[in-house]
Amino acid sequence: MIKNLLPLMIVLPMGAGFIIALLPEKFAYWANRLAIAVTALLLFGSGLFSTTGGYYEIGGWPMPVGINLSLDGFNRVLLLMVGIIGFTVAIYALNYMQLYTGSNRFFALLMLMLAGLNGTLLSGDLFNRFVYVEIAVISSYILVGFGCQAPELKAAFKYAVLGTVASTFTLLGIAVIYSLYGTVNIAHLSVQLAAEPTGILFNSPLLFAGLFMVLGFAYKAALVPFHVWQPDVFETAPAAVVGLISGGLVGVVGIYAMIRTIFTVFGITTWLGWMLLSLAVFSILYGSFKVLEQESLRRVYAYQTISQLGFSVLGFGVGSLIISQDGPYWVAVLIVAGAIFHLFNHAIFKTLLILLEGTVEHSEGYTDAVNLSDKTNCDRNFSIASFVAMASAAGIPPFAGFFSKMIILGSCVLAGYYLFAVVGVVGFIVSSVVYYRRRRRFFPGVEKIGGSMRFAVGFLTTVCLASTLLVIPSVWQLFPEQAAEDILTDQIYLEQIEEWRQKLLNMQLPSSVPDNSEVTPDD
Amino acid sequence: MTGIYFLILALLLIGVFGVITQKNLIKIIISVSIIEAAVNLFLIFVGYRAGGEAPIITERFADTAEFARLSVDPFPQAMVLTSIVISVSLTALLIVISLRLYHIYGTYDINRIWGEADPDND
Repeated sequence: MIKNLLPLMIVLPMGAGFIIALLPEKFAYWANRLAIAVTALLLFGSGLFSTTGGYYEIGGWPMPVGINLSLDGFNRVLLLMVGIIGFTVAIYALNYMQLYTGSNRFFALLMLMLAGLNGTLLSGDLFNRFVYVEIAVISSYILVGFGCQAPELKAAFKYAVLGTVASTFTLLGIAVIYSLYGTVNIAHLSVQLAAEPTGILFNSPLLFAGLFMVLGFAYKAALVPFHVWQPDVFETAPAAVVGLISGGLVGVVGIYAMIRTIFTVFGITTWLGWMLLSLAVFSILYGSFKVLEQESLRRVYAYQTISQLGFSVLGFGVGSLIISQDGPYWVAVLIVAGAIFHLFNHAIFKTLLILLEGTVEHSEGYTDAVNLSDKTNCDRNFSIASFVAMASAAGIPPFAGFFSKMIILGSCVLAGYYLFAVVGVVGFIVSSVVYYRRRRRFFPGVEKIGGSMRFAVGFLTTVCLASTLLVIPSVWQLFPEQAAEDILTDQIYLEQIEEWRQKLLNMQLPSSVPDNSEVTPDD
Repeated sequence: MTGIYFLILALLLIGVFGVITQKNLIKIIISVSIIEAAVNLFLIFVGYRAGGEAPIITERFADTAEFARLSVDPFPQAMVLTSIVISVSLTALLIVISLRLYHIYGTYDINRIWGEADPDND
């Protein structure tokens, strides 16, 4: 069974991370090759899992007692996204990290971060997911401060202190949920919370837990008003790390964890939908307008990330409003599929933009506008890659970024939420204007891109072009639409509960075993 | 019992207050640790049972229901162990970063670190 290979998605990078960390500096060549081989395997694995689903019980322990890994339509799309970003960044870093000392330590941390991200996606258990989130996030704190210069350290300190407070509040939320229901298994919780008679809004401990968890994840997604860390981190960290944060960390640890918590654990309710929408609207507007006054290219990308993720959250928010107010189901599926598609697209094009910027920085030593714009001897391939990334980010028609934004905005109109459509259009126009105004800086001249960086950029450009193919109806049904249906109906978690119930019925239990309304997690 | 929950809440608020108001890197790290300690304490008390037994099945327990009624909940203790490891590693990381900052700026005062222009240190 292919799903029995699921733990390898976490075990492989984590094991490789520890091996690389233990290897002495003189084996750095082999450490780097090992890291790239592992990321290639992860990419292959995520491709392998991209059409399957199912769950895996770790150690063979049955569901509410043991820990499980779940794979449904939503997380397999993001698993593919992490696979692509991880592979690209590892190859890119082979040349790029020569600017820094201790490149094998970079690869060790990269491996741990990928293990954390894959674990966050796959884990079907709130506390385990918290631990994986911490693995990914702590590696990112270290990677941000990798250069050990003053600005990096300041950004890393700010990011780490606020991030720790946010994580601790998430843990408090998990503890409150555990004290109420005696379980942290997502499938088990989703059934118990759905049976809650009063609803979440009027159940104050649950409200408390929900707010803490959602806001803790919103910090990691850098949604306004929790975005303060992001511009500093983007401006100072190495480009490979920023690509990984913007492409993988923010989407997985922030948006995925938040959406999974809201949609599956707490259930789709109106007030959580409004909360998502308020985060989204502030992020889109603040992010887009703040971009206009930025001078540094990295800060432009940071605020762009805030507004683009705002778009994605807008899709999820409107989707949950439609579901909770009994609107047309197909519009909800369409807009959530659009949001997932946008999350995927954003990861690809933003990482490409950041890696291109890093390439310029690597070969020229500066990214400042005045010096770049008067260079004439351009590398043609570099310009093509820049154009593809920029066009997708700005939403120019044949590119994927256009389709995902249009699907989100179009479904807002279809569902009758005109105000959000207007907010989206304003954000869309403002962010396109930025790319037009700064077009010269997106086509900087680069004389020669190093070997591995050239390959990484070429690979990601191909993926960026190919992601347009996702709008072909049959592919659309297989990936984004399936993802949206799975997250809206909690398909894989319902299957787990059903199978568990069957097992309980077949077991001929003694009468003393509690029924599923009050199960103690003790063996 | 409820007194302990108020103590935990007070610790949490002290920690948050410290993170917001303190101007010294080390004091900020201490405040972060206080928040973590408060949440860990809360986790321990989630599994607490007055007069409870160690959760090990011995002959004294007639059946599983009796065992479930008497023993303390071991699961939050397992969680707290993991969470303590995470807090320790985070504290170590924060201290390393603040030490590096101290080597560059010669101070732990955030007003001076964030206020000054970056010194040339390459």
